[in-house]
Amino acid sequence: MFRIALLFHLLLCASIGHTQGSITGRVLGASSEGPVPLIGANVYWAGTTTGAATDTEGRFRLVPPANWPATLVTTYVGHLPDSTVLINAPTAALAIALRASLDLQAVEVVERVSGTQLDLRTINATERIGQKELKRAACCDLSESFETNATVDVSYSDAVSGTKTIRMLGLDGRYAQISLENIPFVRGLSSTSGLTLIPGTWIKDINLSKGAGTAVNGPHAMTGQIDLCLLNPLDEPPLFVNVYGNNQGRLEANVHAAQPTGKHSANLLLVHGNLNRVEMDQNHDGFMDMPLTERINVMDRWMYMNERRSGQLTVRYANDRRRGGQSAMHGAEPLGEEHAGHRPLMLYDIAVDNELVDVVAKHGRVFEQDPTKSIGLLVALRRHSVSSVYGLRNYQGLQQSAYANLVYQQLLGKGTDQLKAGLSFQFDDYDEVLRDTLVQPLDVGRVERMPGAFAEHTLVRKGFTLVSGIRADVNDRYGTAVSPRMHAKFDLGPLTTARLSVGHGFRSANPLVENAAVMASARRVVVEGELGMERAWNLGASFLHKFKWLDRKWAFGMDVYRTTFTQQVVADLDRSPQQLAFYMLRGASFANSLLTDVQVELTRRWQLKLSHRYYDVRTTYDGRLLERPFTPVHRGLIDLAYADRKERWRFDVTLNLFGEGRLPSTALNPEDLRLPERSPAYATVHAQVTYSTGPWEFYLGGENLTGTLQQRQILAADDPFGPFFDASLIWGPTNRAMAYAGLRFTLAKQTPATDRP
Amino acid sequence: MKTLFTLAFCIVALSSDAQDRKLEHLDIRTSTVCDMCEKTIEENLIYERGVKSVSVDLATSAIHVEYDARKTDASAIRTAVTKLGYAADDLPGDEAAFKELPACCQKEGCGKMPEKKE
Repeated sequence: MFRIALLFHLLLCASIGHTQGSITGRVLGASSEGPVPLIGANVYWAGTTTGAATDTEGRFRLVPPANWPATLVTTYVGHLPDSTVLINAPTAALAIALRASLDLQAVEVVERVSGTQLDLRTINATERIGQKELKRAACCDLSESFETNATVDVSYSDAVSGTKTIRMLGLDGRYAQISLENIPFVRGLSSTSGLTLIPGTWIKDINLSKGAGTAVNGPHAMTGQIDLCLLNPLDEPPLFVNVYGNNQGRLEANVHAAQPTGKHSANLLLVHGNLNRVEMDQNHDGFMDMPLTERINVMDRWMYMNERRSGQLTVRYANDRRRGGQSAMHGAEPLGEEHAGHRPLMLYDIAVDNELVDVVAKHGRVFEQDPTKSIGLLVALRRHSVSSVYGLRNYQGLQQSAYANLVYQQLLGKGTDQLKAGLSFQFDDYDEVLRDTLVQPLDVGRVERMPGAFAEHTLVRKGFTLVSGIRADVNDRYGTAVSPRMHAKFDLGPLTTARLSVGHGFRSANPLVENAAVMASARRVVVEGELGMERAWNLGASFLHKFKWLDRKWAFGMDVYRTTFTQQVVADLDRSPQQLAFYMLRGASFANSLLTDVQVELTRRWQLKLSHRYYDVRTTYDGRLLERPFTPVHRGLIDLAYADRKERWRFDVTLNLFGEGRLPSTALNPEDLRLPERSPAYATVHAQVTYSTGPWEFYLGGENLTGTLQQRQILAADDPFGPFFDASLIWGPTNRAMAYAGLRFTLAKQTPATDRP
Repeated sequence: MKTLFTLAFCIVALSSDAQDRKLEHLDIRTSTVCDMCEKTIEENLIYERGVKSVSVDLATSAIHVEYDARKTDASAIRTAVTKLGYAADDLPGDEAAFKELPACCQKEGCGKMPEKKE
């Protein structure tokens, strides 16, 4: 606290001092772990005796020279001296970087990211998003595919890394199980960035189910399950190409090539590339709004299937590099003579690199003597390395995982009921280290082994379906957990259903990657006590009714869910604006959500959807039950879609409404670095038009067409190495309006009979 | 938990009550050609008052309907079929609606069955 008070004082001085004409700044030197403050460096005006020495923070304060322009000289033992010409008094603190005299490495550059909120719409407890719906959203990676859906919220997580995260039932996507054809996929180190590493065009459809998930696919589903179905090599056209570009410099390309390899087998190669090399700073805070990216993502899938057996082998390699932070342009090119002294010499740099290798194999067979029984084995291996630099901070992570799931399946009764049972094993080896300049490296590496067993029974009667399941998992680090799950569906009429679900789920947390956004701040990371598993109960009910009224078809849906945590790793941003504290939940933590949804077919060509969501998400932070930050209490979505009879023209416009949400407290910051307690309500508009003719499809669209922008995205953007810097307090869009265009080309399959060898 | 089960029980009771109502069966000859036609009929006819289930048999061009006789009758259901652009027994399909049907459904003249005697 004393230290904070001192810095507080220093900063106040700086601003008061400025009015009196004092020149302030900071001297930094390079080290293997990034810039470090240089203590006792000499700073003086060339040709005068006016000078000062830096303090323990590397800061100095200097009387201005008699005349402008003046040359400021900085010297330090073992470093090359620096001289900076100042045309007139700088308006902000200077940052002076000295190079070690033996080290001639270039000064690094920084980055930052921006935010946008997006949303989808839903009706049932289970909802399928097909390719038609996927194409209505702009593009590109999977997190963006949810932009026209109401079940899943999409938002930028920080002002720097360009990563989008999703939320379900008001809670972060990490509490939902995101699986790829029933294999837990977005987990561990990829739990925040994972969805951005799956191109939307690879997906055939998405099954969204809210509430406790099935017991078969693992214990993880606490708020729901998002199962991604990939394109099937056996059904795909020989060639598909998609090219996308936007006015912010982002380019994407996808190429899919399918090839039969036999009568019952086929291979599919999927290649995706993403490039963004245009620096953009729309709010003029010196930080790039989106990082520069380079991404390559390749998957090869081979599949065979006949009446008795099916199998597949999938290999994927992804490499994603992001560079952001303070714009290099800003550093290299003075903004104008009057700003010459304003130019920082040490830029705040952000670099996030992800590299993933996945191998997935599946084999299933139907028993020869009894075709009502089958058995399947799923195996998945992954190596995922993350390397990131946020200013002076550096995070290195490596995850090596193996997963196996053996499922036996049998039809019961007259073939309507079903029993599934099996065994699973999950192995994870995590190496994770966070290095900060002044604090001891934080090492959260660990090994987890988790064998598990499960059973699930499905009972289908007229108008009634009941799925009851249970699983038990023995985690060698966190202990044993038993997760019962139950789902019931009632058909109240031909067009009316009601559903109930209840279940328990758990996961082991990776708090550093899950809160990677906060790394783009000066917050000190504090871990209190031993962190354990996260466990929660989920209880939900939903109702869907379709009807005809005013000669139009309507659908009305409503659902209510409550997730109650019994154990949780709390990420506390409220204790102090200079801290991110992790500790186990002490007290209540829950998320209530209520969704109301109306759809109407205005005519056969026009469809209108309206939805409203209410969230009450609260967690106990240091004994106080507070709203979860960045979670709007009210969300609205209005979507109007048009398709002509031959689906040649398609048009879609979506209005997203975001209510107020709580922001983490910044009350302890100096007055000019405080944010309001709550973020304001705002709206965004997206639109897209698609025209298709023969094998070609052209699309043109825009995002955030009203140009809504979070004005102040970064606190203390002028002093990124100072104590108040924070680029993680993002509640709204960080980009203005964006336009994009692209085309898709599909080389249709010849008649099925002409399968080439 | 207790309330949940009570609620579940009520809903089961409610839905079984719905099943006890006496349902009438009706077969309508129509003019379907493809599975798009099947989809159009099944997805639209179910919205008619009193209709409890709809299934289309493409092989025989027949629509099988279960309905609640207290809420509707056979002629109302036939009229609803014609409004979709399809013939219903001796009634021809509505011309305007026929033109709105998917292209594949128009090819072999779905809407013009009455001449096509079986």
